[in-house]
Amino acid sequence: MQKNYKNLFVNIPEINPPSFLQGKILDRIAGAKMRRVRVILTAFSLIIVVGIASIVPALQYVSQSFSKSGFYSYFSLIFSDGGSIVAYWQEFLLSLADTLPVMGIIVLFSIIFMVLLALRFVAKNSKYIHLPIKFINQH
Amino acid sequence: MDKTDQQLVLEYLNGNNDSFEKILNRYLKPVFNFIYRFSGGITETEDLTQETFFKAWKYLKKFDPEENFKTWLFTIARNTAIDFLRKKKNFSFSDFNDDEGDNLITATLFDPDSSPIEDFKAVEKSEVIERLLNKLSPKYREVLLLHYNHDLTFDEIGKILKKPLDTVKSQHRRALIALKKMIDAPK
Repeated sequence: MQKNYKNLFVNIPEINPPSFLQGKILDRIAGAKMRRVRVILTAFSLIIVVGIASIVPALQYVSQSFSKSGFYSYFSLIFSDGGSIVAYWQEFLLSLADTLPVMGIIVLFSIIFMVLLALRFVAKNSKYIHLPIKFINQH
Repeated sequence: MDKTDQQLVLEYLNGNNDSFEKILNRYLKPVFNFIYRFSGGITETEDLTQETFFKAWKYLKKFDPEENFKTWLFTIARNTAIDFLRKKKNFSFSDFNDDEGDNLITATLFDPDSSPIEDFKAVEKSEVIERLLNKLSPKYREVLLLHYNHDLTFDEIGKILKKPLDTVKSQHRRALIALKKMIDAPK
């Protein structure tokens, strides 16, 4: 009996979707992909601009931190009193490490790293900015 | 050998764009037909099919590869159609209520085997069954379509409708009763 019901449904004609529908769906997805890439590109471009603008103040801050911490004074001993450095190299290295402005250096390198990453992404995806939608799916 | 839906989904998520096109090729016609029949042959079927596949693409990352992709896709199609029909306001949620004036006793006592084969032969003409289907309540129509037209099991239908297996079976039985009544009704 179930077979009879099955037969009823087998006889329902299958409707073919319009031939353009598949292309329309793929185009819509491509458009959404493109919008997504453009949003990310805009965000990354902003990161690059802000990052580059922050590099100079970050460098100044690190340079000032080096001066304030006395790192340069310890470092200059290498040239003025090489003998003592060799004799007390462990203490000397500890003093250098102690006066190193770690925070400033981390901030500076983080900015440089972020800018480089953003530059890499923008360079890789910049072709999508002007590319017509129909080509996006092929990438 | 054809790749499974799960394999195609994973390939797409790993960057192979052709895989989604293969999924689209595989399911465009079934989804289009399901939406068309489920919604009673509306002209917006094309838009709703497009919306279904767009949502599927958008949420593909959330698809659990342990689940059945067809069930997942048909759930999206059904929800998309219901949302649209609700917005159009020609659709009542009471159509999907479980106890909508149907006699539970009749449903459990009914024996589908008692229906004469001749009746079925008479309605095996496509236009007749199509007309009868459109007369059925949407909650019955969808169970019959998913089971007989799209070969989904009651368990899979339960997942799409978010209903327990027993409820789906009972809904299926009532749908058959309703269909039989229409077939038996004097022309």
